[in-house]
Amino acid sequence: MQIKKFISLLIIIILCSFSLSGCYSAQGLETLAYAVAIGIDKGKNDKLNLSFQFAILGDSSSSGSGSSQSQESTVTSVECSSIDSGINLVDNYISKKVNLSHCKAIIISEELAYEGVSEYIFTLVNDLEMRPDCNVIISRCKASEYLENSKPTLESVSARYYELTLNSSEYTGFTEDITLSDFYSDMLSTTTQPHAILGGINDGSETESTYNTPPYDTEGSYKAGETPIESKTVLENMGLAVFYHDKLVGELTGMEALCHLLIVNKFQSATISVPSPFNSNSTINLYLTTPKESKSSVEIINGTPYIKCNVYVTGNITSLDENLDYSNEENLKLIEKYTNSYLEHNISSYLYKTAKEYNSDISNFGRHVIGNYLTWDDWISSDWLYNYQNSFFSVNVNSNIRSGELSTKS
Amino acid sequence: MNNIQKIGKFEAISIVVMVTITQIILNLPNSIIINTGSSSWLNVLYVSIIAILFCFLICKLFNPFSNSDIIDISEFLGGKILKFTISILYILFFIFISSIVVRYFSSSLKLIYFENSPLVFILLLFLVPVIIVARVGIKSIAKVNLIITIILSISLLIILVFTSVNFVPQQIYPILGFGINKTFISGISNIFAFSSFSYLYFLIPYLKNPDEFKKIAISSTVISSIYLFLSVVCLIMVFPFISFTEEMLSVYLLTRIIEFGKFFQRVDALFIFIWILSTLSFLAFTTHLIGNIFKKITKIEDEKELIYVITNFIFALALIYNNIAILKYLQNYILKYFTIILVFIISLLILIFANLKLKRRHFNAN
Repeated sequence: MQIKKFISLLIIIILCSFSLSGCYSAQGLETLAYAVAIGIDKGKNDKLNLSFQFAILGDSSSSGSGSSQSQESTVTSVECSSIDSGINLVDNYISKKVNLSHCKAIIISEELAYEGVSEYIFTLVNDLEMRPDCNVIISRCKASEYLENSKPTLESVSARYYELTLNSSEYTGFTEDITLSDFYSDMLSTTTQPHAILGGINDGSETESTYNTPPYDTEGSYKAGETPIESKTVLENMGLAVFYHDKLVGELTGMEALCHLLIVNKFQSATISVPSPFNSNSTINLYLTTPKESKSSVEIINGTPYIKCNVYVTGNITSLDENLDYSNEENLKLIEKYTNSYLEHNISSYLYKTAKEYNSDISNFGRHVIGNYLTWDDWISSDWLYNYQNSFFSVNVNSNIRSGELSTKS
Repeated sequence: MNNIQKIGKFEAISIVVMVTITQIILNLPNSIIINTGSSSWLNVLYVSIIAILFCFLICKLFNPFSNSDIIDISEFLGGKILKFTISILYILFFIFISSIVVRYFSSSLKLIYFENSPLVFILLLFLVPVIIVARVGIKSIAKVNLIITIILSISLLIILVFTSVNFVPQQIYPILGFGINKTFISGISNIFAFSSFSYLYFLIPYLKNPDEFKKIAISSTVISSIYLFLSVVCLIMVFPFISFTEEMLSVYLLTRIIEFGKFFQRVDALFIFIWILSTLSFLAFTTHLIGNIFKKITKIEDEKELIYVITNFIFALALIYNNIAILKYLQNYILKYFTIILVFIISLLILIFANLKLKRRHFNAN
């Protein structure tokens, strides 16, 4: 009996001793360097130029914000042959282990994206630290410059800055929240092509824009880095980068991105300007939402895809004009007609641009066709992704315009 | 076998369901999808129907042998030689499946969380509790397993529901995937997914009421089919690349994309914790079962001391596999055909011939 008690006591002591000891191979905050963004550029001498934006961890007691990250972040760049070797070199240089578990954005320069990104995407997807919800941004400038210019003015934590900035598409519609998981899935899909967020540096140099566009088209016609804004924040994400398989083939403007969101049913809300039916030099501002999902169908006629899209929007008139009565049914019908025609024109030009210019089905129309094939071999031999360039489109927009917000007449 | 502890209907169902769900977590759907592509949901429906029919058949064949398991029936049919042969085959089968499960899950854990920890430690973290638990007895194992299976089932349902926002229903097309042959003819080999039948063959002597065997077998097979179907459909609809890529833990990939709003993200650790419990439960029951089979062929008094030897076998075998590629090969080819041959062919033949022998004996007696 005493032996049993002794053994029990011994087991308890041994188990308790574990709680008093240090952890084997423990990795704490002091031994890790958290990258909040990775930049991938074409290197000068080597294959790659890899940049990391590291969060500098501050004293949480002094910051008072509840986060241990200070406002500061630092960018480290390295020339390397692959992502993993670059991480290794940076590990050695900073004497801390690079940790990607809080990485919010992967920035790839356009120059590299034109040559193909599959190798880097596969490597990053295969990294367990990397989260699938990390955003993919194609930078119109060098990725390292993009990171160096990431100076959040309205946000103190750089990781949250990326998170919140990229969520703005929910209420602007000028870009899409594309994650690593989305990009990877689209890249391997046989029904669609990948696309990414288009980013750039807005240094104000293009503020004096020479665009020859009508007033209602101005806001949507910009791409990342082109918006006439004067601010301390120099980074801008606007539009989409269009890929064919893993190679960048073109860019879409903010308005085209909005049309894309309407077609793929990811549109939440946005404010747009449509031409006024009452004054050719004036615009009417509409706060758009979607009452129901848009419907698309694809018919293959003599080997050519004929794609029909029905889009449904609800618009609240936010602008108010002198001598105009937005409570008048006839006026609303007229605005509805103009809105339909304006959106149909924009959506059609977006669709034809993706088909004829880029041959990239980023709207996933292929999913409406795949059901027509019985086996995988039949589907692959139909080569939808190549055949998309022959597509013709019919777009029908059904808008429901509601009169003003507080007032309907001025 | 009369002095063994008895378990209830729900505990028995939970054991069989737990075996299937553990396999689902350890990449069983991926093995099916790789073979059949986008038609794997159709293939799973097809093999599920076959499995349910098979289940009815074995229930009918077990019916005349009250309170007997497959070992007792083998002895009745072919004497001690057949009993010994079948026992050894099942011991090898259970040791093999346990070693693959524990090694696969330990390697996955090492990759995900314990990058710097030696694999031996992780393996021991599974096998030491199993030694303790397997000695306690089937009743305790079954009761704990019932709780774990309920949690496990709910967790799998949560995964399926919360990933449904990412579903692209058209990804189930082309409906025949890699062709009719791969879906319905060679695809029949995917019946190995129901390896839990091997546990059904040994359940009758453990049951408080052996008459409920039919209910238990049918219910557990239907539940297993539903989970298998849902997991395959979910994977196909979420990941368009799943037919052509080989993931370590495809269900884990699903957990990584789950978000409960903006505030609760990265909940995969919670699911891994539940899976650790299910792996422990699976290993505990299997080890106990191996001990019982060994007891039957050696007629030793107490099988509890055998648990050390059995877990050592599992531990040693788990260490032999060099890497994940070998494990995947063993899982997708060797274990697959071992299951089909032993569980679905040899055992069925034994049951059929034993029934014929019994009928002839009754006929001669009359």
